[in-house]
Amino acid sequence: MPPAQKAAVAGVDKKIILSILFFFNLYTIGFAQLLPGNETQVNFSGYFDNFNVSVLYPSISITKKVSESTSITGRYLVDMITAASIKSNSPTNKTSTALSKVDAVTAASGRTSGGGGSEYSPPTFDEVRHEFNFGLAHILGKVIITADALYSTESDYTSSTLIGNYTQYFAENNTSIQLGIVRSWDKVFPKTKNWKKDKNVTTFNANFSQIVSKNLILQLLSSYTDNNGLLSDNYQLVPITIDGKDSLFDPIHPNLRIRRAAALSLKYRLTNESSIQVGYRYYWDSWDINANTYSANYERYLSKHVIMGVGWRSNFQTQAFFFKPIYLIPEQYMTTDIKLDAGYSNELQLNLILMGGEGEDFLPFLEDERVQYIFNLNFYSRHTNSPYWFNNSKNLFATDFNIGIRYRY
Amino acid sequence: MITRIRIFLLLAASLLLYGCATVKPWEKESLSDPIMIIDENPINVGIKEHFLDYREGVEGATGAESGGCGCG
Repeated sequence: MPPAQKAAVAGVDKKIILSILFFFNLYTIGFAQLLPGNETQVNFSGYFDNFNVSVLYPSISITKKVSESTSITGRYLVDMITAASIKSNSPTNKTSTALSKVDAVTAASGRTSGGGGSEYSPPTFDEVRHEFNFGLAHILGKVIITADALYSTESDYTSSTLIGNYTQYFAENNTSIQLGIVRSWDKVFPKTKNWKKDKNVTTFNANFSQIVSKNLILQLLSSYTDNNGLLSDNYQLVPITIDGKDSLFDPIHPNLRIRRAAALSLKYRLTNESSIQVGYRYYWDSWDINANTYSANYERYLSKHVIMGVGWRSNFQTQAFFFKPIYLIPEQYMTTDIKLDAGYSNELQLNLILMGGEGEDFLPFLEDERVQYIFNLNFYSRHTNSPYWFNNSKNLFATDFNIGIRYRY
Repeated sequence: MITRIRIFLLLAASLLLYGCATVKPWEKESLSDPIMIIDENPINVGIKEHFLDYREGVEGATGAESGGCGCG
């Protein structure tokens, strides 16, 4: 072979080898990126509704990649509930002294006996919950294993949880199957009672994800949950009028509940700047609650560094077999917990993400490409077939927000 | 109910077979775009689920995982 031809062939070979190396590199980098990277995220979230409930829940999360194949995460969240209904004198509220110590809507109990203040005092935080989370993620070949431990504590409830996930990737990382287990050991000790009871929850998850094309991703998710122990909320008392006299009874729920759900989610790129995600979930449990949940979310780049999202979620559910708005006599199972009633809910979700980066000099706080600002605002409404006994309302209107800063390094 | 489960399993099986026709790594650039990642921010998803668990009698199959709390 003449030297010139030899050099040309060598040049082509080199290009092929470089291309192969490039694609191989892209492939392995792509897989390594599935592991959570170094990140600190601070969120400040809030919730307000027309049942006079306010919740503030700030949180901080730190993820650190300790090696090429392992990352660890620590998270702290605090729930601060202001449940003004504790102090309100609703016209339909036939409360006893015991009930006035807790909020019937959220089950939030006062930090001290009688709630966060006197009957007419300004709202204070009536319940504070602390949640601590420590997690580990590790890549082993084409498998990602994660393990999380979580502890939640408040004045009348503690929960310890272990979470494990096994995710296997195959078909050139286009397909993944995830198997997970979540086990919670909860202790319930209502302030109005002198007992402590257990609630144990075991959840099995099986998820499947498929990259269908370069513009379409699909997810199938399923879960099976076994709840046993004390499954009632003991602040959601049951009012019964016997011989003209009002009495409040403890709710009685079956001590076993099997919950199942299966969901399908599709993400499709509409244009270079926009995508749409649609989802459907079917839920059914051993208390005869069936539900259909639909969701859709549209995301669009407003500029190179600004993403806007608009979403909608609707849920339609049937009632638990033992739910009744009014009980005339004490029964084997009783509940007035309104979320076990039949009804529907709708939610409008508005999202805005500002990503730092080049060309954003006009906003100094956006210059750093490692920073992301997240804003979520959601409007939620829920309609139940029966009025809630505490305030005689069938409609809940709520607003919740989140402001977050995400710093990746 | 049985029909729904059968449809779900059939869909899963057909998608598994579809996985044989793979998208090549160099064709996936657009999938790493933030607007193409399903639940790009898992912490936000968890916060969202936590709020809904207070209000509705249904949960599960959302990809979010959290422990128990006295939220009812």
